Amino acid sequence: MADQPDEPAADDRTTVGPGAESAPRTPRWVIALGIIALVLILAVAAQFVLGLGHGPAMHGGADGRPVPQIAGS
Amino acid sequence: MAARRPIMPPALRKLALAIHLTTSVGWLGAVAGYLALDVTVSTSGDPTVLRGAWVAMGLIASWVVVPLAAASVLTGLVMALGTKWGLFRHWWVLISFLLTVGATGVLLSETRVISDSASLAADSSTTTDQLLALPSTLPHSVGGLVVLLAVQVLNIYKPQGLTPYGWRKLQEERTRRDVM
Repeated sequence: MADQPDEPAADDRTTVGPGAESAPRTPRWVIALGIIALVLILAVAAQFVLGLGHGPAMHGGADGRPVPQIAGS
Repeated sequence: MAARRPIMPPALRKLALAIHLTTSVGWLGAVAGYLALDVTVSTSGDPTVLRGAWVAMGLIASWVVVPLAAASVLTGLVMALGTKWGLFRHWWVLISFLLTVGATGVLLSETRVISDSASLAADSSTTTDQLLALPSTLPHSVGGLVVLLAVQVLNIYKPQGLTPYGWRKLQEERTRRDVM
C-alpha cells in the first residue's frame, strides 16, 4: 500500500468530470455489489419465510443425523 | 458554518493506520486458520481429530477472531473519521465499513454456537455420533473469508466514486475556498 495515498487528494473529483456541476453517477462497481448484497439478503430472508431458519444448526450433521442438544441453547 | 471534523496529525495517522492494517490482516489470517480446522471437522470421521479441532476452533474464535474483528471495526472507524476520507464520503470507505460490521455481526452470532460445540467436544462423555452431528460452520467461514478479502481489495485499490453526501461536502468546501 506504499504507493497509495493515506488521504484523498485535496481536490479529489473522482467520478465528477471536469467542470461538472451535477452530482456524480453511482459507480458501476457499487451497483454490482448492491445487487449481490440484495440477492444474498433475499436468499437468507427466503430461508426464514420458508421456515428453514438460518445458522449453523440448519446445516446439521454431514449425513443428516440429528444435531445433539447443546446445553443452554 | 458547520463544525469541521478534527483530522489526526500525520504521525498519529500512521500509527492508527499501522494498528488498523495489523488487526484487519490478522483477522483475515485468523479466519484462514479457523477455516482449515472447519474443513477438518467437516471431512474427518476420526473422533480424536474432531475433538481436537473443535476445541481449537472454540479457542481461536473466542480469543483471536472476535478481538481482532472488534479492533478492526474500531480502528477502521478511527481511520475514517480521523482523516479526510470520512465515513460517508467515498463509496469504498462506506461499503468496507458496512461489510466489516456485517461480518462482525455474523461472527458474534456464531461464536456462541462454536463455543458450545467446543465444550461438547471437550466432554469425554460425548459420543462419536454426537461429534459427527455437531453443526457445521463451514458455509459461514467461507463466506466470511470472501467478505474480508473483498474488504482488503477495496482498501488497497480504493476505487473512485463519491457518495451524494461526499459530493455535497466537496461542493461546500470548494465554495468556502472560493469565498476566502
